[in-house]
Amino acid sequence: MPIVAPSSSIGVGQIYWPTTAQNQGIWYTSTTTSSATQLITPSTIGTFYCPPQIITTATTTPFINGTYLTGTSPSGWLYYSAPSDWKPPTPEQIALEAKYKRAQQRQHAIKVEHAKGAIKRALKLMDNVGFGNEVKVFLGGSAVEVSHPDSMFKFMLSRSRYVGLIDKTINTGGHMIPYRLELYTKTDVHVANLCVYMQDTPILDQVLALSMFIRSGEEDYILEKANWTIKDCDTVLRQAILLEKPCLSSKLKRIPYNH
Amino acid sequence: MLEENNVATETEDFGNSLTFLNNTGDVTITWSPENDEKIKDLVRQKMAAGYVFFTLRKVVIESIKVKRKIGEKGVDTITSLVIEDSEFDKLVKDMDDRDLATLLKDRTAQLAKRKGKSKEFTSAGIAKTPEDVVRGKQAIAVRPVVGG
Repeated sequence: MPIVAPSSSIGVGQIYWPTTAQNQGIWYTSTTTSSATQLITPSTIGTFYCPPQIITTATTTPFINGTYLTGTSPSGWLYYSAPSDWKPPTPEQIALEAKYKRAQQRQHAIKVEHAKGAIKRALKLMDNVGFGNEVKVFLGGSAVEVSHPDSMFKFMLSRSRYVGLIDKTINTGGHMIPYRLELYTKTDVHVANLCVYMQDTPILDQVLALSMFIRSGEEDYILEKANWTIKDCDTVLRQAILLEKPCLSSKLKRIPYNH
Repeated sequence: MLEENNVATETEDFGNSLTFLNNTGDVTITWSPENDEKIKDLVRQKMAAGYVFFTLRKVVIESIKVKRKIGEKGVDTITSLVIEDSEFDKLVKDMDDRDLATLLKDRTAQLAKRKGKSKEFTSAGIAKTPEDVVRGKQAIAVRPVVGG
């Protein structure tokens, strides 16, 4: 399907971009090649972003605003690439696409509502198990200190500034941790940054789970599962950690010495 | 879905509960004692899949208060939850845990709501066996922990 400008003049208003045309490029001027990753900002018709695919040729029969454009194309029109068997969309197809888009928007709105409910329940549960004050600090963007009285470590847990709470409640997949987790000694020496998460679990529930592991004295479980990011480690610190927690020797082996 | 101001109504009190932290947020279930074995089977299966179960215990001061209040009746922090069929179907459909969804659908376990007060519970540690989970009265299930 082609790209169509449904408004009265080209490029003014919203460009209709069917999902089936996501691999098609759109560019400006009369050049026949273009990188689709390029941001195109024509001065006369507005600003358009291309899909990430690379378009190398321009073989088109432009169809814009309900009109076929054949032959020599006038400067200043939009061009697009299309398969040779391309046909313009029917009004029914356009209506169907719009309906699909509206349904998607409705579905997203429902997901957001459910996410809000999940956040509310998580907050209640966290308050119930004694993590209510800390989670407020976490949500405020500051680092929360979580530790066990018998441990030499403390964990600093903070919210990544690039992570949306609702987004990370709806989209629980992925292999990136939605928070920042740093390991310190209780004497404030930074030991490592840790990368560990719970599969398919919303962000606040992960924070709750992490805090439960640490506060229950089960921090070794987290330390052993986590990937450690660290630049160097002082010899004395390394020895102190190994003395306290021999189970971490495999983690510390990968870290270069800093004498 | 399970908010207090939704269609939920509270019914009789239950003692045991298990809260799963899953893709839909936390889902709490409760069950009657005759289904203990089925719940143990579920827990055994999940433990084998890498789930970790934390048992909860009441903090001491709160325990005394609750004991005086409810006497022989038991722990009153969990109540079963009744929601509309459509809400229930949606919840079960969205749940990415088929085992848990099956237990809910065949009524072995019921959805529940926690009524806990602030700081009423604390973690008593990781349960080693399914029996610990059921015996512990209240527990939280955490999905497998992986390094990122």
